[in-house]
Amino acid sequence: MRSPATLRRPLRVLPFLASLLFAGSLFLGVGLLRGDEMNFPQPEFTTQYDFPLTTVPKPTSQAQQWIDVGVMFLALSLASWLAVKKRSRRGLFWVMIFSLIYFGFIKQGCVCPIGSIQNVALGLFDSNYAVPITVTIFFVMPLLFALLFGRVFCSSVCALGAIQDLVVLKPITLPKKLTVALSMIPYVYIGTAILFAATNTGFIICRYDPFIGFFRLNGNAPYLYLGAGFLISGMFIARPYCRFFCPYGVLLGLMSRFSWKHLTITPSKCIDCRLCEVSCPFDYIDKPNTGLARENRKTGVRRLSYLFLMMPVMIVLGGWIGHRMSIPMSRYNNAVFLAEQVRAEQLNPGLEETLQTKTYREMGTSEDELMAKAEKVRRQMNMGGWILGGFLGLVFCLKLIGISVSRTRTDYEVHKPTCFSCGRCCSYCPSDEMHRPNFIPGTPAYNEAMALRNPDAADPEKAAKAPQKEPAEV
Amino acid sequence: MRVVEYQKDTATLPYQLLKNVGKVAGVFSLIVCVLLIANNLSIKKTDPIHSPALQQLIDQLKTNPNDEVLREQVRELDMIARRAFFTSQHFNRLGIYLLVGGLVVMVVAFKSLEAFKTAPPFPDSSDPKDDIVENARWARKAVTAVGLVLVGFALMIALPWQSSLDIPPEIATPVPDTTEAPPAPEAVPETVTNAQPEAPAVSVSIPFVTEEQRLANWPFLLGPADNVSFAKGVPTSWDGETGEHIKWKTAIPLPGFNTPVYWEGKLYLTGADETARVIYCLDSESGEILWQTSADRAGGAPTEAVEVPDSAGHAAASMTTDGVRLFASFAVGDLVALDFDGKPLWSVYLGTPENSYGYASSLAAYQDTVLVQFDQDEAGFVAAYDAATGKERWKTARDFGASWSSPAVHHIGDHDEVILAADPTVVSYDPATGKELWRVDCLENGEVASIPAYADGIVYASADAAKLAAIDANTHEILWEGDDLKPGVCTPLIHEGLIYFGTDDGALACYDAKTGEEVWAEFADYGFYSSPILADGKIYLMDQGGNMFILKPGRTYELIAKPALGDDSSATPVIVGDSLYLRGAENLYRIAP
Amino acid sequence: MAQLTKPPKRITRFTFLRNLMRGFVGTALGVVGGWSAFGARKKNTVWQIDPMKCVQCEHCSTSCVVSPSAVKCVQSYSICGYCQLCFGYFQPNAPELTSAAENQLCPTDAIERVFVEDPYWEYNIDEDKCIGCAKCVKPCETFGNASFYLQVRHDICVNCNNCSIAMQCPSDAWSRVPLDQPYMLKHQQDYPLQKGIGGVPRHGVPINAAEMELELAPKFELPLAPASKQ
Repeated sequence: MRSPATLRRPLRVLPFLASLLFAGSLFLGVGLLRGDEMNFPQPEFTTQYDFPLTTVPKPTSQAQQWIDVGVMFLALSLASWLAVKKRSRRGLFWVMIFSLIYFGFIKQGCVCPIGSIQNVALGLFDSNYAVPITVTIFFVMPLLFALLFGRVFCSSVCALGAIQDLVVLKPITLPKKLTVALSMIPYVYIGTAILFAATNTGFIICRYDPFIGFFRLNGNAPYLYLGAGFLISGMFIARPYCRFFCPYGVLLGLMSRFSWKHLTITPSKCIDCRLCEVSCPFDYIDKPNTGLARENRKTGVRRLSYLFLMMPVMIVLGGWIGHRMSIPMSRYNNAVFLAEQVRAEQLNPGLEETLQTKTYREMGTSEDELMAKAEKVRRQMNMGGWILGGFLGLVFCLKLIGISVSRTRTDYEVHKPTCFSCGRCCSYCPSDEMHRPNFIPGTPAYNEAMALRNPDAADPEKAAKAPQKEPAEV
Repeated sequence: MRVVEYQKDTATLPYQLLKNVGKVAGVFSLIVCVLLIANNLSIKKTDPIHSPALQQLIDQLKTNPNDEVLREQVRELDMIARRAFFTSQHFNRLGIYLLVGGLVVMVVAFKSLEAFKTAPPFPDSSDPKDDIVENARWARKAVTAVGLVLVGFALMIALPWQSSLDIPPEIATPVPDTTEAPPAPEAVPETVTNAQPEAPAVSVSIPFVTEEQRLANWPFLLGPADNVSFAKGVPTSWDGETGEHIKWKTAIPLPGFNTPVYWEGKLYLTGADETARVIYCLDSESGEILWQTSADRAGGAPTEAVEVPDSAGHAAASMTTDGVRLFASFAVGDLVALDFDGKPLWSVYLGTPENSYGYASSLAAYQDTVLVQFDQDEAGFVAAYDAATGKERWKTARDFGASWSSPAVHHIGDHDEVILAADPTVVSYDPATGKELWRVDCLENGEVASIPAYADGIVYASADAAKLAAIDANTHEILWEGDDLKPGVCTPLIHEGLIYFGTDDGALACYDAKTGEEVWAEFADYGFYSSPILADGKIYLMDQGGNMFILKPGRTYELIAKPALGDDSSATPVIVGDSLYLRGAENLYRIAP
Repeated sequence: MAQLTKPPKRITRFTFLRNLMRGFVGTALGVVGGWSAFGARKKNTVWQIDPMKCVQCEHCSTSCVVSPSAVKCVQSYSICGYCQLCFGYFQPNAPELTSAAENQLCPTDAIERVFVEDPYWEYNIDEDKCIGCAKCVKPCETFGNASFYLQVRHDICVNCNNCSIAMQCPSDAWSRVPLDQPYMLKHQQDYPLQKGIGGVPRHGVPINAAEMELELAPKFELPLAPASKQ
């Protein structure tokens, strides 16, 4: 009879060479689900072998970012000078080409002041996120210039504006009621973007930037199609993104409305020749309105008081809707989305695990932690929803009030809040001898037009006001 | 809508030329654009890099490694797929350059036309004075309309919106608790209970396995229910030499002492030597090896094998299954999970066991975990790993010596316990948390390889060189101890108040389970490593020489038959359906009527 | 002409209001800008993947705005086991250990396998071919030394303000890291060979700034195992 016990006994003393050899083998320990440790020792080569080095390319240096800030400052200064002082469309055009190449194709559309709204918003609301100083400067600089000189940033420094401005071929004038309606979109856009950024949900301005794919000459199909759509429609509807979507335009408009200096159509006195009337492809020139039929003053006052009374109602109503919208909106936040999925899977065990929930379970984060995080975002979103809704209520109310109040204008003027300072109108004005490459006083066409369009010109008193210049040399 | 029309000198040749250049560039850009879109769509539609056809061919090749035609096919398809991918990537890049180039030419051409402007457009001769009142009214209407659209849109989304987070948590109870109460004995299917011994309390509850499924298979070393099989019509006679009743015999390339696992018509077992560790899948009908998966360096286990005595080998641990996955473990201290197709799912390296006889603990699946008893000379532990991911669920240190026993979960009272034995202590843990429930010292100096058995409120633990002890599962007192005959490697069968076992040195014994009195004892020529199985109303117990003792259960020793396999065997017989699956030294046998 | 263009200076109610509002928005801009600048950091940030958190879900290869993705596989030679049977290189159960198409895991043939000495082989990533699918990373991490892992290559990455992969990442592995520590490379000293149970989870350590400054070439090399450790 064999006795296994005796057979085994001598083996007890056998040293475990292998285990000594692999004394370094690590145990996959507590909380580790993946092989984060070395499972095999580094080989000891007997031949001469040098371990290769792992090479990694350097990112864009900090100095480069400061150079960009400098270039932006120079471009803005130059554009201001060209727009306000020189009133040179041609000069602005070349700055535009430069910006398109530099900020667009070379810098590939990042960092841009439009997107920096979100960085600043996140920086203000999330103490964990510090905005890089260069990004802050990118955000502030164009606004500061707008407060001083109007939207010179839009005129030629913004790459998104530049690419759209260059493709304007046959612009059509959209009906006023349509443009007024569409011009409300940027307020909704910027409000939502700030809310999403502040709650660290996402940077939607960057995400839906239609031209970034072109600047990178590379991109995902849907965004390229979006950009192509904007560019093709932009041949006929001038600068559609700038006018009807750009969130930064809201802030620039606010600054530009109260700007210290601004590009003007005419460097001197407007003679109401109406020549600039069609020069603006964006329809941002306000016509004189003297001598037009006005609304009954009593009706106007009643409407205004009614609107002012409605203001708190609209703010509260907007706030409530924003509060209700905060629940669907919070779903765009990763934490909330995950928490909702996890909860939904608990409620409905038949639901298939998604990659997200699977990973969450593998990572072993506690459910309480996740739910607390989601709840925090939802609370922020709820508060933000009230504010966003209230803000939009206020904006709509103010817009209605703005429409109902009209200031008397005797001249053709640019509409300061929206004017891009592109300088197109400058070359149409016969008052300025420097900027009329296409329209030369003294030519038969000019004389005919002046006589035909401006009967006042016949009036010697008014004609005296108009500059009597010799025809410029051709 | 008014289009701004310039007065232009359109008659000149350069004007017409530029205009046509612009048009051509525009058409060119359009064509490039369409091609780009088509290219993008085709990449999306047939992503060549994630080609399922290619993967399928490669998988085919793995089962058929010598098929040269297939090999060529794979290489060709791989080349085509990669070429298609890189070509389309290249085209994308080229296309966008062409597009931008075309657009630039077009814009420049059309913009240059402005140079031919002779005069800006003049306003209409009629001077339609703006109607301020009308304009303002329209503007107000437009803004109000936008506002209303926004409000309507927002309300349409927001009002019916239901976030799952807003459903009160009391409804949102976690995933249904998988700790189902174990089925009472009468839950055993009727076909099984007829003319069958009463099934002992079935203990291990695994979420993926239905009771019927489990009882009809062999998911664990000791079968579906603690040494009890529900097979019927099992042969009582066979002969390894003449081949009588031996339906098939398949050579297993690598040796191993582990007992196969039977699941839905297939058998799974492991084999290993110093250099290789392999998991095999056999078809139960034909005996053909369907697949084999190498577990080399699984979880990062070292390539060099640990040194183990021949009596344990490199593949002593039996596999187990939870009905969706297979789990295997080898002497190097790894833990591998595979799917039923042999695809490795995850693996964990538990550390090189310091165990003088070689690590030999079999695995047990419990709920959605797999339990590992890792007793070694120092710093042993028992742990549960997530069956799906291999992530450690819990781990409890065991401050005992090395053992070769295995975890088995028993349902005791109203809860589950996993009872582990080692020198010198029997310890019970909560299999869900790893918390120690109780411990009894009774196995001093024992070399524990037998699995603690449980029946009728009594835990039976035993070790060679120690004793056989019966412990009250509720009071944890030792009811009786015997140090005459005791199972060393074999796990005893308890049936109708009697405990049957074989000992390492060849005794075949039956004790009274309540009192510990010897009822009968016989002696065989070989020792018993295999455990007795109750099947078809008979007890099957095989010695190491391959002789099967088929006994009638009862207070007298009644040998029904003693067929010989003609092959050494240490594995416990797997008895499923009407067949026995016996693992010999090198072969696996199916014995069927 | 000045006498013609400039109306007599007179503070009307309108100009007063306008000046007031100008001051107001100017102050508001100053406050927002100042507040933002006060908390601002000097250094910009770039996106990077923490290899310890990465779960190799393939989003990196499909979600990047750049195509093919700016995420590439990186090989840390100092922790590579130089396995003959590389789990990242070969198909599971590869018929043979050769570089034939049927044995390779990489869909784009981006891993180069070079014999060093028996039984060691060197594995190099060809970045031009790599698409960041992480097919090789997963098995290397599961069964091997995890010397293959994904990193954002900053010569390709355009550093989007809102990284579209980061938005998709299921395991929170993407984060903004300081510009002077743009990579989370694995070094051998982060993985001491030691025996122990219950190892402590380790996290990717961004390489330190001093090392970065060593080379100013567009592609610079990292010292393999610097004596100092952060």
